[in-house]
Amino acid sequence: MNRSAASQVAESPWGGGVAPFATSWQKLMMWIFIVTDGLLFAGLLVGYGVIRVANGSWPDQGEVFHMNFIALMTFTLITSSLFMASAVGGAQAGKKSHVTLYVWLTILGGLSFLGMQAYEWTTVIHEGARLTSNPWGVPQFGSCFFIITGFHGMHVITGVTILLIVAIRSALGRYSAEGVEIAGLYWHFVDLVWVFIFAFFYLI
Amino acid sequence: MTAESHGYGIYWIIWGVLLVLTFVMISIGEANMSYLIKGALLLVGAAAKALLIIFYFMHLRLEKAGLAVIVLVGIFLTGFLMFALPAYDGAHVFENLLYR
Repeated sequence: MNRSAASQVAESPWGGGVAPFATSWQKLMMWIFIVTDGLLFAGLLVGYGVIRVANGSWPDQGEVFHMNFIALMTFTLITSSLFMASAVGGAQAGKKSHVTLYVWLTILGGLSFLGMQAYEWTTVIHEGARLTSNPWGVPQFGSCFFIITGFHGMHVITGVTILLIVAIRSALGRYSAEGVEIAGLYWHFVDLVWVFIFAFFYLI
Repeated sequence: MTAESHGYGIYWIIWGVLLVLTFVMISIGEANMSYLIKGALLLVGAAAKALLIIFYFMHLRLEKAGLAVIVLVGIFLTGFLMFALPAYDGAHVFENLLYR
């Protein structure tokens, strides 16, 4: 959307016939999708909370996971978000090479995160963790771990796929600033979800 | 151009704050305190990180206020209710956790 038209709409009350939130429908739809997808993860975390409270006991995460490694995963995701924000800024300023570089750096961050998650899953599976049982305590610990981090990992894979498309299109010069921004919204959301998974599944 | 370089500077500052908050939250997670206080502190920390990401990385602060209301009420109020309703049911377990 034309920037001046957008700011015009932003300053006026909505009288119909114009974009109600001063954004294109694509961006608005991404925001609404993010709200609903956020509620999906809220539901998963509530389910986990109910299971954990109902059981009364829960394995000590410090014994199951290497917290330094989990912190490194968090660092990787936050840093990839920084690269993505930079790419969006570059797209708005019309710097093609800047967009291409930072989108690739974001993809690299996403792939590193996925690699670390694959390593983490492999480690706990080798130690005997399954969906229905695990060596550390209540059986639901395994299902909570695999389902919650699995859903998140699936979102990271989706985000990397979207960013690959953006990277290829931007290398060809066929990107729009808003397209990069919408892809960025999704990527930051994936980071956002990890904040809550990290706090409630790994830390508490 | 100065406005844009200022924009990039903001991203680095937010990145630094997010890392500091992450470090503080890990320390809280490893600290020896009651689950209730730990949970409350981690909830505040996670919410602070989430708001920084939403408002600065996702630029919600630059959008129209109505969109911010949809997103914040949609995620945080509904999410809070989803947590609050079953939490009442589990309150008797929280009483035991309180003194651990």
